[in-house]
Amino acid sequence: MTRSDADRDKLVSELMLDAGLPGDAPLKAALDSLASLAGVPAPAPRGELAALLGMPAVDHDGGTDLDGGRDLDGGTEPEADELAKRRRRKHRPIVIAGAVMTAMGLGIGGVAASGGLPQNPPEFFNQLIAGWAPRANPAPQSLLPAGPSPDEPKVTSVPAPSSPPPPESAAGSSQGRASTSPSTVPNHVRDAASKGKSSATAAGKKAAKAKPNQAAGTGRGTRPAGSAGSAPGGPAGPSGLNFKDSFEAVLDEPGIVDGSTVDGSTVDDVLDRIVRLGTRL
Amino acid sequence: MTDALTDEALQALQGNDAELFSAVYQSFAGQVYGYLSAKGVQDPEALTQDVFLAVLPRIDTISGGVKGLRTFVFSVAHARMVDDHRRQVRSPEHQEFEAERDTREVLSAEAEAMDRVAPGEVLALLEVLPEEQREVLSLRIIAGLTVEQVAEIMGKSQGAVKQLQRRALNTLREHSAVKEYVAP
Repeated sequence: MTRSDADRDKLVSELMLDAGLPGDAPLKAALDSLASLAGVPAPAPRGELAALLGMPAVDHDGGTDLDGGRDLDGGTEPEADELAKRRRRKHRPIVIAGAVMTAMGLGIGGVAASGGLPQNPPEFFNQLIAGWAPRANPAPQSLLPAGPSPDEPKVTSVPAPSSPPPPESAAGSSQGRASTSPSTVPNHVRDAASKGKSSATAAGKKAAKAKPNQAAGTGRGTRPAGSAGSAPGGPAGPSGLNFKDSFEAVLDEPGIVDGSTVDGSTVDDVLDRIVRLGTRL
Repeated sequence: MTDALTDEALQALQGNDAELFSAVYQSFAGQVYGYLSAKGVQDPEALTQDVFLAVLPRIDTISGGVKGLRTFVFSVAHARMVDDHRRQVRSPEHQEFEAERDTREVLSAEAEAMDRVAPGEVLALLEVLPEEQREVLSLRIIAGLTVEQVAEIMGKSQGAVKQLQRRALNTLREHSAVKEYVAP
C-alpha cells in the first residue's frame, strides 16, 4: 500500500466518521473502490501538452510522449505508402497492356521490314512448288508461278517441242530431227518425240501396207489423203502422236490383231464403226 | 501510482519548468483522469490533457504549496467537467456510445480501457447518487480534497458540503447496488 493509498484510506475513514456511519464494512468497500479511481495511471500526453512537457528532463511520460509522436508519424507514413501501393496496383494493368501492344507492334514491324514473301521468295519455296508439278509433264522452270515474266515460258512450253517434230517427221529427214537443239528441249519431250518418230515411221509402213488393200477396192472409209502419210494432221499431244497413229501403233503390236485387218476390215473401218456408234449414242 | 508531491519538492523545482511540469503532471494527472471518468465526461483523457494545458502555464502564479496546487488543478477539472456536462445537455441528440450496453460485439478496446480505469460497478455506484452528492464524493475521495477545498471548488459552504457527503453515504449504504457490489 502506497502512501497515497494510506492517505486515501484515512480519508475514507474520516468521511465515514463525519457522516456518522463508522464501521460500515460494505460502505467502506464501496468507498474504497471509488478511491481506487485516483490510482489510475496518467494518460500519455499528446499534442500541445506533449510539446509543453517534451523537454529534456522529462520522465517516462516524456518517453511515452515521444513514442506517441512517433506513433502519429508512423501512422501517417504507412497510410501514404499503402495509398501509393494501391495506385501503383491500379496502373499496373495499363502498363502491362502498353508493353504487350508495343511488343506486338515491334514484331509486326520486324516482319514487314524483313521483306515480304511475294517480293523475294526463298529458294526452298521454288523447290517446293517444282516438286508439286505432275511427273508425267513437269513444268519447265519458267512456268513457275513466281516467275517475274509469266508470258515468256509459253513460247518455250509444251507445244513448242511437239510442233517441230511433225514437220520434221513429215520431211522424213532423220538428220534434221537430230539437228534440233537438244538443249532447249527437255529430255522427256525429246524421248516422246523419238517415240513419235518411231511410231510415225511404223504408221507410215502400216499405211503403205494398207494401201494395197484400199487399192483392191475393199476400203470403204473415206480416209483423208493427209492421213495416209505420216499422219501429221491430227492434233498432236505432248508426245507428238495423234490418237489415230497411237491406235494404229497399238494395233500393230503382235498378238493384238492378226495382221492389219480385223474380221476382214481395216483399222479405218473399225474406227469408223466406233465413231458411228459414238454419234448414235 | 501517484507520487505524493511535497511542498519541499515543489519549492525545489521552481524555475525548472520542464521538471516541474512533469512532476505536477505525474502527481495529479491520474487523479484528474479518474475524477473525470467518474463524472462521466465524454472523453476523459482529452479533457485531462486540456486541464493540464490550462494549469501548467499558470503554475508559477499559484500559492499555497501542494495544497493550493491541488485545489487549483481540480478547480479547473471541475470547471471543465461542468462545461462538458453542459455541452452534453445542449446537444440532446448526441448519444454516447456505451459499449457495455451494446450486445452485438465483444467489448471494444476503449471499453476495456474504461473498465480498467473505472470498472462498471464503481461507476454504477456513483450513478445512484444525485449530481451534487456524486460531485462531493468524487472530489473528496478521488481527488483527495478536504471539505474546505471542495466547498471552495463547488462554491458552497463547508456545512453544505458536509451535508451532501452525509446524504451521499447514506444513499450508498441503502442502495441495493452497493449491497450487490459488496456481497460477493
